[in-house]
Amino acid sequence: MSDIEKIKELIPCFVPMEEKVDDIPMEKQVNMFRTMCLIRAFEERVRDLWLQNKIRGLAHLYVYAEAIAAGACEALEPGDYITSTHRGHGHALARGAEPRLMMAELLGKREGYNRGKGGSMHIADVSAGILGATGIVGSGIGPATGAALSAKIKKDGKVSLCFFGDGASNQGPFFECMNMAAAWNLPIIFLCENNFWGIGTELNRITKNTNIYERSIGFGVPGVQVDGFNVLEVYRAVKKAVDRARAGDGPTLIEARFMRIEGHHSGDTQAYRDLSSIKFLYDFDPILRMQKYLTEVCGITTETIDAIRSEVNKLIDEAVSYAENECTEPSQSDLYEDLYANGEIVL
Amino acid sequence: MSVMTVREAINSALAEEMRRDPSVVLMGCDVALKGGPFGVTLGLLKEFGPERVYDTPISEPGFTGIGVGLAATGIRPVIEIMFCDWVTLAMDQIVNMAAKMRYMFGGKVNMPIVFRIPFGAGGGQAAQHSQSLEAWFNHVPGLKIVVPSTPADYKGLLKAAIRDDNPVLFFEHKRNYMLKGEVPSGDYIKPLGKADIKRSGADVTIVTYSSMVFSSLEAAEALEKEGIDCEVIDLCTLLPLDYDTVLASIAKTNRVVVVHEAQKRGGIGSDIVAEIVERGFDLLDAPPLRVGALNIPVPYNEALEKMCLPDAGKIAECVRKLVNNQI
Amino acid sequence: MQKALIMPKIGMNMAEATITKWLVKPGDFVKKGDIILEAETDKAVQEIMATETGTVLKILVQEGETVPCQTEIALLSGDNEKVPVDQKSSTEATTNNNAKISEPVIPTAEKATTQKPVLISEKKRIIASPLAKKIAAENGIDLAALEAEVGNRRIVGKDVREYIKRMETKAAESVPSAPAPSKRFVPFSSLRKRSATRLQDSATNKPRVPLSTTVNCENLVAWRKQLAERGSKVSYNALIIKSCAMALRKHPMLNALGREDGIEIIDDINIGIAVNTEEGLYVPVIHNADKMNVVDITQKIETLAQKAREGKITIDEMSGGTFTITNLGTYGVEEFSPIINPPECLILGIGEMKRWPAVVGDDIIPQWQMKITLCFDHRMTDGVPAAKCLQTIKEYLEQPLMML
Repeated sequence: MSDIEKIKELIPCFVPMEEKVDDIPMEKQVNMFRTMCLIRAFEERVRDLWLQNKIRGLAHLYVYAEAIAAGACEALEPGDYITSTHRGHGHALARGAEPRLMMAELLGKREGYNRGKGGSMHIADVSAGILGATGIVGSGIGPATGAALSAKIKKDGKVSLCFFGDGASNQGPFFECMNMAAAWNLPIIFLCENNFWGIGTELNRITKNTNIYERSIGFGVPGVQVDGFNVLEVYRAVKKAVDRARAGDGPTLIEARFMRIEGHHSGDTQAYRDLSSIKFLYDFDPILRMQKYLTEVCGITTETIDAIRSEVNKLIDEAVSYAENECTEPSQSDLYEDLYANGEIVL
Repeated sequence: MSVMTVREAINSALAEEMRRDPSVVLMGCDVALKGGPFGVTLGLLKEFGPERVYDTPISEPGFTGIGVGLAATGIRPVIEIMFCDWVTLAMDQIVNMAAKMRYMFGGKVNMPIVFRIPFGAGGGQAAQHSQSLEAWFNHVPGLKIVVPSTPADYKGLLKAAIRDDNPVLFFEHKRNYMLKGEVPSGDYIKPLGKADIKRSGADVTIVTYSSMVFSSLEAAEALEKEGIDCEVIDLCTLLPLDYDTVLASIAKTNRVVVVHEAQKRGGIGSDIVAEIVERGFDLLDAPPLRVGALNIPVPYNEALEKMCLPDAGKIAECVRKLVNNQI
Repeated sequence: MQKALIMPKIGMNMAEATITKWLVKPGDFVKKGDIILEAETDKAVQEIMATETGTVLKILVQEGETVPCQTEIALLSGDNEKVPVDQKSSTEATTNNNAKISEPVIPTAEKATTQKPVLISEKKRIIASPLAKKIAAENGIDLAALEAEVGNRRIVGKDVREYIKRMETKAAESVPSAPAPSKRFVPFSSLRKRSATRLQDSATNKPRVPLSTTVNCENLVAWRKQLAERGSKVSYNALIIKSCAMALRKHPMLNALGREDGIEIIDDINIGIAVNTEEGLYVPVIHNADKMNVVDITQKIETLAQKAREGKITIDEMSGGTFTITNLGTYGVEEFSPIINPPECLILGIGEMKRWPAVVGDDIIPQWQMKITLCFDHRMTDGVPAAKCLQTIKEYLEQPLMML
């Protein structure tokens, strides 16, 4: 079987990036490429720092999923809400969170987004509309739906985009919220990042119909599957759903289908997986695909590409340096702060 | 001042707050059209419309999550969980999200959410419709727990809870909805975190809340005839708990019993007694005691149910033993 | 029905123990909780308590043997009360044990003092509420006194309060003119208990020698009157304190505190003055009295005495004394030998100041005089140094302007 046939088996909606896409401004396309590079550079550094024990707990890297965050967030306006997951660094960066404040948080510093109290799984840049990342699978779906309802009540034209994975698509609240979003016609986009693996369990072992996008039919919500390794396809689908929501036409379920290539977290060696069978997936690296498309199909120069790459690397270097050298450790007086509102302390 | 039932007190508190603050929104099963299973939210859909009063499907995990999302984005939701027994379904959003988001997110997110939770036993509701699970939430930092008793307290504390920027669990005893009492007129707020001395006394301190306040007062009346003078403290708020009032009372009486309808083992009485012993050991002239339901699911049969639950007689019996050094 | 004593587990990680010394033998009656043997675990030598009550019938595990925890180590009879044991049946065991026990490790005096354990079984627990214990402690009540009255239950605050009230009533009651002698019992207050101990200790241990002399106070009286006319209020006690303080400057070896093998000479001259209150005797201390003027000393005495009477005087205000004076002159006592305030070396007792015949030249005229008695600790000093000091004090009192 050729690689293309293999990939189409895993991703039925696979779309090769061989033709120039005209309905998306070039500026946006390049910007999405940059975002993907930024995420990749950030995550590789996170992996290094985690291996050096400078980042505590576990880090769930967004590598090879960059197309989804980059494509989806490009379709949002400032002020729109997203909720994120344990694998949320990509969402935050794509939404415009500052790498240095994220790094500060990962290193547990007071200057971090969560003042050192959250860590990797809870990055929250609320000003960018990120209603936080949650480490409980599926627990962001309710709040995302609530944010959509909030937008409807306030009539402020905002939409809510909920990132969740194939694992969460089997959680009760997913169905409950899809039902309520449909019933109340909420401006929400349910974006399932289906990488086919829930830690050590493949989707087809615990779900009969792995086409998660079909679940919305029963709730009266349109569902669509897109090639998760193709940033332009993701962008298109999300843009359509966002426009629908903003127009008051209700929710959409988008299944961005791809494959998890690396481990569940930075320390996962995937001993449970037949790694030889996934070697070919590295050729479908969304960043390499996009780079090839930009240079070969759109005529973007390699200098431009290199410039983007070195710019993001520099940004990450600065971010790490800031976090390591210019930030402060929280102290005992921070222990009870922000447990309750308005400075109230309850011991 | 006007006389109203607990139900009317809650209804007027909700209406007043919704009038005052357009961001207050109600949500729960049957709260809109039916006006709530106990009639508590009657008339609110009519006055405020379907954009502010929502009937939800039976999806506690879902709609409590929606409540969290509303609270995080500038709305002040009041979510009803019809029976305390089903708060189990909402645990993830209450415990992992509502209680923790502000802290985990470095104070960047507001969580002004109220969960109204009818609770309590009696009337043959049986095991899955009778529980009092407030003790579970005592164990979750970031939450507040409110347990009113009189109509005035219900009104004042609910208004305060809605205005509080923290997640508040507001427990309503479902057998007390028709209880009448005087309620102050106007914008009556009763601050959270302060206990009330519902009855002054010198011989023993009874620390209690919600429906057991009335049983304790009943017991106190009977005991007065036997020459035992009880001080009854209504905690009003369980978290944060007003230990100053409790300890000041024990300094006077040197004897204390904590009374709640929830099961004795692992009830919040256990934590209260531990704190009392730690903070006021030398004040105690007798072991601090707890009165609670038997450690069984609440049975259906009337006689069994009565044996299971605490009442004025059992409270009085406990106090007698305490005062006569029989414990 | 026989019972077994087992080797209990003390501490989480104790798995076994080696018996080093049995403290009971067959025929002994043991109560559950009594210390019955010493055993060595990996941590240290431990005292092991009896896990049952009864009369020891047979020792099953001998000294020097190691047993795992929960092993039976002795047999007890089934009775819960002391019962004579048939010696015949346990003779063997008895002789065995006697043989072992007759090779004791004789503890050296050092060992005895440093390793004296608190034997839990000897100290009987009195069951009382925290409040009762607190009230008892505050009032110097021994709860053991109430135990018998209260009986089988926990002693509570009310019991202690009533007890105190009863004691106070008994003390306050006047003796009626009844034919039978009435008994009144006033328990020592905690203050009295403390001073009682000190006085007992001083009277017993300090070889006290009194030295008396008569002081002519004509100049003292005149000077004091002069000062008063100029608006300076000065008390006689202040004048006496000042003269003693200045005297000690000249006799520094006597400004000392008695220690085990010597005396500790103190630089500061801190004079204590005995103050009688309803509660008992307090001795506030005027620190550095030699450096103060008599007006200030007068005020200081007044302040401290008032504090003492109100029960507000602090430990610091009564500490650090190197010399004490006590004045019973105002009560008509002419002369007395006070008990030295340990660990001080000297105490001066002041008698009544009155006018009586003095020889002036060849005349006999009434003059202000008083008898003062200096008691000294003959371990710390001798007659001559003490007498010399007394002489100096007398000089200063008779010629007060020489003090300045």
